[in-house]
Amino acid sequence: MENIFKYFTEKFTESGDVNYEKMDRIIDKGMVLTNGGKFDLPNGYLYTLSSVETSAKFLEAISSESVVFTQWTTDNGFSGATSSISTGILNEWGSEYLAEFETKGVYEATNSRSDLSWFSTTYKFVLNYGNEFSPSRILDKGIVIYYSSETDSIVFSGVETFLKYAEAVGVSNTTLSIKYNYFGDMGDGGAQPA
Amino acid sequence: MLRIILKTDGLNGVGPAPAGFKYVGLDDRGEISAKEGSSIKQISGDGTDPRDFIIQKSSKESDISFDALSRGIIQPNTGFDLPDDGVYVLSSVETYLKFAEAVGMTGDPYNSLYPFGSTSSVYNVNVSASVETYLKYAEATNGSSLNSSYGGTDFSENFISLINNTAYLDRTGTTDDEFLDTFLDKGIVEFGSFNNKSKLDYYDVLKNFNMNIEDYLKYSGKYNTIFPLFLDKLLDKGIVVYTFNGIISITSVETSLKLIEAQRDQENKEEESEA
Repeated sequence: MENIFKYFTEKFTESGDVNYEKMDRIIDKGMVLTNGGKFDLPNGYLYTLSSVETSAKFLEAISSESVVFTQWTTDNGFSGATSSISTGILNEWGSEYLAEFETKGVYEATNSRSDLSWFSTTYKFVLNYGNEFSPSRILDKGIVIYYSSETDSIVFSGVETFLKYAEAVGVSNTTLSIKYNYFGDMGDGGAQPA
Repeated sequence: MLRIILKTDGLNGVGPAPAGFKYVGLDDRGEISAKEGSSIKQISGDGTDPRDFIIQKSSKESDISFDALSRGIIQPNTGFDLPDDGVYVLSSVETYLKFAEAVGMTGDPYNSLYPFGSTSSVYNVNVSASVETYLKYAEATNGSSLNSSYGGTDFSENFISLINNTAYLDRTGTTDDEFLDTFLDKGIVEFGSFNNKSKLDYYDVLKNFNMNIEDYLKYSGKYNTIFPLFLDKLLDKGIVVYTFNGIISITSVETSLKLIEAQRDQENKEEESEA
């Protein structure tokens, strides 16, 4: 049917003229929706996008014998998306901003093609730099979309809120194997691979 | 002598047939046999949906507070669709939990669903809520196998329909800034269904809701239409529909609990007198 996260947030925040204050509230509060199996599900039942620092918190809490993250070994579009975003920042804003973006870093875990371009376009988390909205806001909060086959529930929220959910009800009785990519400055104080 | 009830408007009533009568229907072999209790519960379908009935009644009466639910409606169930699971509840999470805890729907299922007469072990219950609100629901219902069945209805499709209308009103400034929070924080629980159909979106009815002058002045600063009050008023009160002894009750959660308590008292008195 729909990707309920995209549908819900686009409907309430108006894609193209995003209401970031509402976007924050949706991500902070998160949502659980049963009967979720009828919606488009994340391939592998889990999707996450965040800054590298936020991903470290997420992975520390979620990774286990039954929830395993392995790096992509083929192209799923992530590199092309980060390259395009970086070029855009450099051309529009200059090298100083690009350096900051690279230090922040991007971590995406998905078993499908990268959704980074969609997030970048929809939430302008990079190109709106300089506005009241901070470009790192979405990346720092992080996005998690998760499907529980046990309760037929879709969950979407920021990382912090999702960790509360995971602590209370667990993430899965079955093994999750999710592939990830990351992008960022590997120098001192920069983004480190999670 | 066996007397048979022939009806032209479908079999309505999951309770026992009147004394001296039998409900009959086709069995798996295409032969006529007696039907009773839950075995006939899905035969309804051509009647009035009690959910629509109470909303439309409220609209006609300019009853913006849904007082009709609080007063409750009890009448012979002829002509109404019947809840698939013996009982139907639509409410906010908080209101649902009051009901569920009071009637034992959060505990052992074999002791619950009293007095709804359902013997089914599979129930449809669906939830949409913020993570915090959902966790309250999950904690309160933990261990109940009543939560084991999700997705038997078109809840998802109804949720999309609800989002379409609520988000539109939210974006266009028809509601106040707190509406999105209200939507997430209250959460929605739907227990049961009618003919396996969920119903969350009453926009088509509520957009033309009759509003009296007093209520208009009271709410017009906050809402341009009645629809957002669906969350503030209707979900807080909750809709409970169930049948007993050939009667259908359509009430708020609070009123349904009074009714159930009265039924229990009556049954206890009857048992005592028999003893």
